[in-house]
Order: sequence, then C-alpha cells, then structure tokens
Amino acid sequence: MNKIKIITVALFTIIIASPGVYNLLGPTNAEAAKAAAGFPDITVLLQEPKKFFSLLGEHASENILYEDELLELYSTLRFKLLKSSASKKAVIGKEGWLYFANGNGLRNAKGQDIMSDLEAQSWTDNIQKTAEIVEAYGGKFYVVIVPDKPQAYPEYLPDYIHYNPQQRRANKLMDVARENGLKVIDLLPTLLQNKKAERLYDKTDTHWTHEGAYLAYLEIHRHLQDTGLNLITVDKEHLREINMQHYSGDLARLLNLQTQFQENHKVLLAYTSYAQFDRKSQLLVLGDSFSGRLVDYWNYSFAKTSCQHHRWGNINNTAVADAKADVVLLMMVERGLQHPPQSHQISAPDCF
Amino acid sequence: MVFSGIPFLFYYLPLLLLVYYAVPQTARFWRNNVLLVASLIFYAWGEGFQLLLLLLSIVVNHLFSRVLTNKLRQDKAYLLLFLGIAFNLGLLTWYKYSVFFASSLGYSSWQAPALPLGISFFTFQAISYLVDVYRKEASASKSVLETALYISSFPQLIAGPIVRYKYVAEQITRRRETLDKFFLGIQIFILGLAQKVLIANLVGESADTAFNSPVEQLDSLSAWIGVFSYGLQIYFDFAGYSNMAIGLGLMLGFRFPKNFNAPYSALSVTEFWRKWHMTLSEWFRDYLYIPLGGNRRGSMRTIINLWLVFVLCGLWHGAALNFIAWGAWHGFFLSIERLGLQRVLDKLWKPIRHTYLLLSVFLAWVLFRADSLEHATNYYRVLFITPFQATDGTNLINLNQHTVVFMLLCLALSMMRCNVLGYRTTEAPGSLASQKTGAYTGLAALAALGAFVVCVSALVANSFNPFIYFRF
Repeated sequence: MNKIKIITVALFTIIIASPGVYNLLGPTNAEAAKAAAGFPDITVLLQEPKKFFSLLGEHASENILYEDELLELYSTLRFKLLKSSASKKAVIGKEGWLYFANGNGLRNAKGQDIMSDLEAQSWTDNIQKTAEIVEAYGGKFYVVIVPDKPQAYPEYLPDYIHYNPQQRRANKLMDVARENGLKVIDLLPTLLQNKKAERLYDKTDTHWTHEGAYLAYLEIHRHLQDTGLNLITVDKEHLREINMQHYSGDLARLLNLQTQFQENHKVLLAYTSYAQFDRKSQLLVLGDSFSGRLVDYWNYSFAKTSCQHHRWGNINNTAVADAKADVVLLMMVERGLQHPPQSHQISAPDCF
Repeated sequence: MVFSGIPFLFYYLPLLLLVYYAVPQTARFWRNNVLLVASLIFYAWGEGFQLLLLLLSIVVNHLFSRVLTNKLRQDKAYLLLFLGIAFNLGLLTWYKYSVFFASSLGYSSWQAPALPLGISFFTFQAISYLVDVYRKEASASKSVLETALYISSFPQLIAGPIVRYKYVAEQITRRRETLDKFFLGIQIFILGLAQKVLIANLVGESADTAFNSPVEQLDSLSAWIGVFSYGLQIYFDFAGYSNMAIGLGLMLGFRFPKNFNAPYSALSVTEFWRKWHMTLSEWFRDYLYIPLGGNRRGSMRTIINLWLVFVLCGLWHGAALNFIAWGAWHGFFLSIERLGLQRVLDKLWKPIRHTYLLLSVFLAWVLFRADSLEHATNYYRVLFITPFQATDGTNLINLNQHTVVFMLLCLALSMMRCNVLGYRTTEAPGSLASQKTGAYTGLAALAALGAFVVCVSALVANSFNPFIYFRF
C-alpha cells in the first residue's frame, strides 16, 4: 500500500514540477519563446510588486509544457461528452458544419443585427469617397457583398439558431448604396442557386471553397462585362483539381478539434500560363481573406491584379488613387459590416 | 494567485514543497517560517503593498492576545477584548463597508479604498483568536511568527475555511507530516480542483450568460437555467476551493475543518445551514448567536437573534442591499421553520421537503448573484412573469441534451453524502484512508492523477477562472 502512495506522490510531484524544470533547463524554441511572455524584470518587484507577479503569472501561463496536446485533450473530451465546444469562437452545427461565432455573423443570421438608416448612409458615404476617386481617373468601381457562411448554408446551423433571411444586415446597405448610384454585386443569390451542385463553403472553415470562389469570380466577371473592357473568363478546363483529404479548416483549429472535424477539400489551381491570354487591364481588389482565393482566376483576366486589405471598410484611399487600376472591387464580407468605418488613414497590407 | 491557476500549480506549489520538505521535520520552527514566507509571497502576489495591512493586523492581534494572557481583572480583559474586536471590525468596515455606509448617508462621491483580498476571512480568524484566548479555550501564542502563520497561512487565507484558533493552535507547533496525509492531501486537492475546473466553470457559463445579459433579453426558461446553474456553480466553486485548501493543508501536515457536507441533500433551510459553509456558520453561532442568548431567551428573542445573525451574514458577504436581502431571506425561512414549519415539513414526503429546500435556497441565489437589488427584482419578474420562451421561439440559453444530463448529474453529485476519500478532521486512528484495500487505493490514486491531467487541460483552455468567494 505504501508503494502505491509513494508512487502517487512521486508522480504528482513530477507532473507539477516538470514545466518549471523544463523552462529552466529544457531546449529553447526561439520562435515560441519570442511569442510567449518573457520572464519579468526583477527590478519591477521592488517598485510594483503586484505588476511583477502579474507578469510572472503570464510568463508561467504562456510557457506551459504540451500546451497544444492539452488543449486538444480538453476540447475533444468536452466535445465527446457534452457535444459542445470549449471555445466560444465557433459553434458546432449539424453534420459536421462549423460556424464562426465571433463578430456579428450569427446575430445577422438570426436577423437580430439589422442595419439602421443612419449606419447604411454612413457606410455609403464612406464607400462613395473611394468610388469618386476611382471614377475621377476613369476607373470602374464595384461593391461586392460576400455572404457569411450562415447566409449560404443556414440549414446546417444548430437548431437553436433560427435563421431569418428577411432581416439580413447587408440588405439595407445594398439598398442605400444603389440609391446613391453605386454598383453593387450581391453574391448570395448565385451561391444559393449553385450550392446543390458543389459545396461552396468548407464545413470546417469560415471561408468559401475554391469552387465557391470560382463561382464568385464568374458572377463578378459577368457584371464586369458592362465595363466595356475585354476581359477573358478562365474556364474550369484551365484549372487543375486537387483533392485534399483530412482537411481541417480554421474553425476546427479555433476549437482545437482538428482530429474530430475533418473533410475532403477540393483545390482548383491554375496551371495554364497566363501569357497566352490577351490581358491589358489592371484590377485592384480591396478585400480580406475571402478575396485571396480569387486572385488566381483574376490573373487570367487582368494583366495585373493587386489586393489591399481593408478592415471594416477603412480603406486607404491614397493607395487606391496611386494604383489607378481600371477596375476596383471593394469586396465586403458581411461579418465585416459591424462598425461604420472610422478613419481612412490606415496602412494597407495586401490581402494574400 | 489562485489555486486553480498555472502559476500556482506548476511553479509556486512545487517550489514550496521542495523548500518545505528540504527542512528536517524536527526543525518545526524553520518549516513554519518557510510556510509563513510562502504565505506572505502568496498574498503579495495578488495584493502587492496591501500585504502591509495583513502584517499590521497580525502584529496588533498578537499584541492584544499577549496582553489578554496576563492575569487581568474581568472588566479589563473584557474591555481589551472589545478593543481588539473593534480594531478588526474597524479594519473590515473601513475597507469593505465605508462606501456602502457613506452612500447610505448621502455621500455618494466617497471613493472606495481597494478591498484587500481575503479581508473578511482573516479578520474573522483574528477575532476568533482573540475570543478563544479571552475565553481561555486556547493559550495565546508566544511567538508573533506563530500568530502570523495562523492568520496568514496561505491555504485558507483568501477564502477559508475559517479556521478557529483553538482548532489549529496545537497543529502549528506539533503537527506531523506523513506519507498518508500527503497522499490523501493530493487526492482531496485534485477533487477540489476538479469540482472547480470541470464542474463549476462549466455550469458557470450558463449562469454568467443569464445574469450578465440585460433582463429584457431574458426569457423565463433561460432565467431558470441561470438560477439552477448558479446554484451548482457556487457550490462546486466554493466546495472545490475548500477541498483544495484542505488538501494543501494535509500536504503540509495540517488538518483543516470541513466546510461542506452535501448541503443540497438537506431537507430544510435549518439543516442546509448545518451543511453549507460550516466554518462560517459555526463562527456566527459561537461568536454571535450564542452570546446574543441563542435560543435560551424565549421564541421572540430567538427569532430576533436568527434574523440579526443572518442579516449580518449577508452583510459579511457584501456591502450591498441584495446581500442583506439574501441574509434576511434565510433568516425568514429559519424563523418560520422554528415557529412551526419544521413540524409540518417533518410529516411530508421527503421529495417534497427536498423540493422546498432547493427552491428556497436556489431562488435566494438570485439575490446573491445579481448586481443589485433592482437587478434581482427584475430577474424574479422574468422568472415568474415572462413567458417560458421568447416570442420568436428562441431562448437566450440553449442547452443540448448532453449538457442537461451533465447538470442533473452534478445536482445528484452535490447531494451525495458519502465520504469517498474518508477524510476526518481528527487524528483518530484509521481516520485517513489507511483502512482501504490496496486495489481501492491504487484505483483512487490513478483516477486522481488522470483527473489532474484533465483539469490542467481545462485550465490551459480557459485560463481565467477566479473563485466566486474571492470577492468576499
């Protein structure tokens, strides 16, 4: 009996002592060490003991041994036993579908986040400033509304989220923007029409699939015919299909449930040289992570495609004026329609 | 620093155990000093320079206790005790109640001094020290270091159990650290950690959603789920903390008193208070209720005493009207039980008595959890007047079947009277789990270590998990 007790005490001691010993003597992963909080400056102890101990706590918490494995263990146990997720950043829907829960996407799906007239006008005024810059040098400007995943696939939302398509937040913005003369492309109807043929959003990811992106490309391209520019459409035959098995998207990673949520993921890659196509015009995409997947296709239609990231409609108009692209697409994902834009003075990293 | 935090579990605790056990068992003085220094660091970790206040309390109470030990005339000793208690209550009042009293008197601009962590607990321990010495139930410590260890010992410093001096005085100077104690301490500590991390934090999610949302967004079903969840959360949170304190005490050779004994298994509010936060109930009983006359001065006086004790108990939890109302609520039920309801209850079928207990206690938690009396009143309105489901068919809180089953299991667990780990608070032979078979011991140890790993994984996933009783 004493042996059992001694072994238990020894094991317990080893478990609680190992992170400290490892941090002290173990090999250093330079990248991880850079990301995690460092050991606080000892001089802080005398001046602000509370702050010192708080920093020490952060250091200890961020340097935990086997952190990824522990996160996955808890998330898996919770999912298996309670069918719920430890993270509040995503919700688990039906048949393995996951939905992003941060931001207003789910409230928008429930129709609880209607845009007011004032907000819609504020958005439109902001967009119009960019449109005027583009039109001033003779370019064409389009606003593209990219649907959130719950709008395109509401049928897989958990039962407690009641989808309300009538109160979509983007509807008000589109109405006001069109009334003010802006050209607006809503991608939702075409996605809804075609979703039976192909899966257009990944089950485990926030974003659309390559198929979804390609469909969006075709729909936008159809509208661009009005520009009078000679834009070639890339056919599917110019794209190579690559199937990835056991793919886990960003939402599965957010939940630390990569092993529980996996799917087949089809990639449509460009493999034909662009050179054979007669391309003259330039395209500037103001977008976010959704826009990245279309760039491969735009390269067939435009001689030069560039992409600038915008957050919540805060657009770097100086960069837009400098680019002087023939076509400017402002791609607005619905989840980004949360706050009316505040400032135009932002940096503009590209969105790839 | 919280027991259920990574810094405590993986840095503070192993370092303390290493240094503590590096000192030979015969050198009790030095082991105590290691524990004292560790306790002061523990306090400074969360409170910084407020540590000075704790030190002041230690020194002043030690001086009072030393003078009380002298052969004094009864009236002088009584005056001295009065001054000692006044000092402690003055400290508590200044830090905890000055804003409440100032705003009640119309001085709403009064700035609150920062509330030192655990002040309600260490003040009550200090009062117990002075009273026990005055009553000659324990002799005052000759060493200020021992007094300091009694008041500031880290396992029970922040949120109890409220360890009375006479209970622990001998252990400070003559305890024995043994393998049996350490082994049991690990298990009880992990049991407490699991109660906190795997149950309280989980059920607390629904409680937080219900109580942190504007009441106009609440539907009745979600409000009831919120009440039910909070009732479970506060039990597992606080019982978990107490078990962790007891477990840590055992690892360091102490035996602290139990604080909970399956309170939701009670069949009346009177019985509930014999099982809930037992060390606080006993403190109020021995240092307030009985000195007030207890139940020896007729029915009316007994009722007044009960109300007074419970209103003060509510006030002890927080300087706000909702806490006073919570205390009065319990005072009311205890009074009517004493006035005849108990006799009626005794004749009823047990499940009915149990439902009565759960309803009266769980509904009172609304007052305890609400931000204010107004919030509580509005919450009650939602519970009893608002429709069960919102008009659009949605509810604020949506629990799947698995979670409902989990919560019912937790309720059942909170009612279990059995003492699986065999912890007793006395040193009687066989009081630790030594009489269990080897297989049982092995399985229990394995389960405890497995549970510990799962708890740590939950902590890594949700790093912010303060204890409810830290705010008191």
